[in-house]
Amino acid sequence: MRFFDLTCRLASKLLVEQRGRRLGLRERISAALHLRVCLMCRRYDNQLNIMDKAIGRWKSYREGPESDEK
Amino acid sequence: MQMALQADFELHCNKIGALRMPRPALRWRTRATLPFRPLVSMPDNFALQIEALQPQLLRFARNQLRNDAWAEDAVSETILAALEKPQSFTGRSQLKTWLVGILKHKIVDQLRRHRREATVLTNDDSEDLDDLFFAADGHWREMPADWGVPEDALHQLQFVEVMEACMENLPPAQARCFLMREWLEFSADEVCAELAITANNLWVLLHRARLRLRDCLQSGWFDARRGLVG
Repeated sequence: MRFFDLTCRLASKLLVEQRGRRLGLRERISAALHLRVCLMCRRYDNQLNIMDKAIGRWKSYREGPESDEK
Repeated sequence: MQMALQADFELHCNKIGALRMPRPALRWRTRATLPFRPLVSMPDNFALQIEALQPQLLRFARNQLRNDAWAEDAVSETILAALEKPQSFTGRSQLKTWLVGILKHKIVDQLRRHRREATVLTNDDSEDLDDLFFAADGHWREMPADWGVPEDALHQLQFVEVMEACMENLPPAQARCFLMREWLEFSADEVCAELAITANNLWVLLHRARLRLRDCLQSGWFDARRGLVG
């Protein structure tokens, strides 16, 4: 799973960073290449996308009327 | 002058009273003592509703402010602002939405006010968190599950409740960073500045928060649901 020395451990961190800052050129290339060869990290990337959507739902829940303090 | 002081004092009492003494008397006290009682007609239970939401507001504030006194101040200021300016509540949004909106501003105020004395973020996860999910050679220990496209789940109240529970279970430092980004909508630079941490610290914390959140959703929702189906 190694590519440009990028391990899944590092790739998964880069995938999170990618959602919050503009990656450097080298980082973008390694992340993209890693995703192409690594099914596990593609799965994780999909999980991150789902979490992003879920966070949106959770925010409106948190501020919305339907959540009563029990 | 005397009058102003008196009003201030009563305000102060009210502020403290709103927090410390759970009692239905808040309603008439508010109406009787606040000199700025609004002329617009408010729903009778306005103050009571605000009071009922107070524990939840406090919980939100505590997620964000490590110091309980600051969290209580942020909530007191929110309640005070709501009682002082009920006319800004148009009724178009829900009361809770309106209050949480005010609370967010008050939390940001508190963060800025106490920037200097902010507790240093401790590394609240053992260094071994990575070892939980990754082998020594950097590979995933377990294949991440295929979550597919769970559009239905995202709209289920139960899913969001699991999500909320998972957020509550994040270690404090991760929770603060994560919520500052996602809930208060701070930029990464702002979070670093507020918490006096480096960008790399921040990304490590956010990375860990995501790993934990994923793990929690996996066991709290995806596995549990499969258990029901299978």
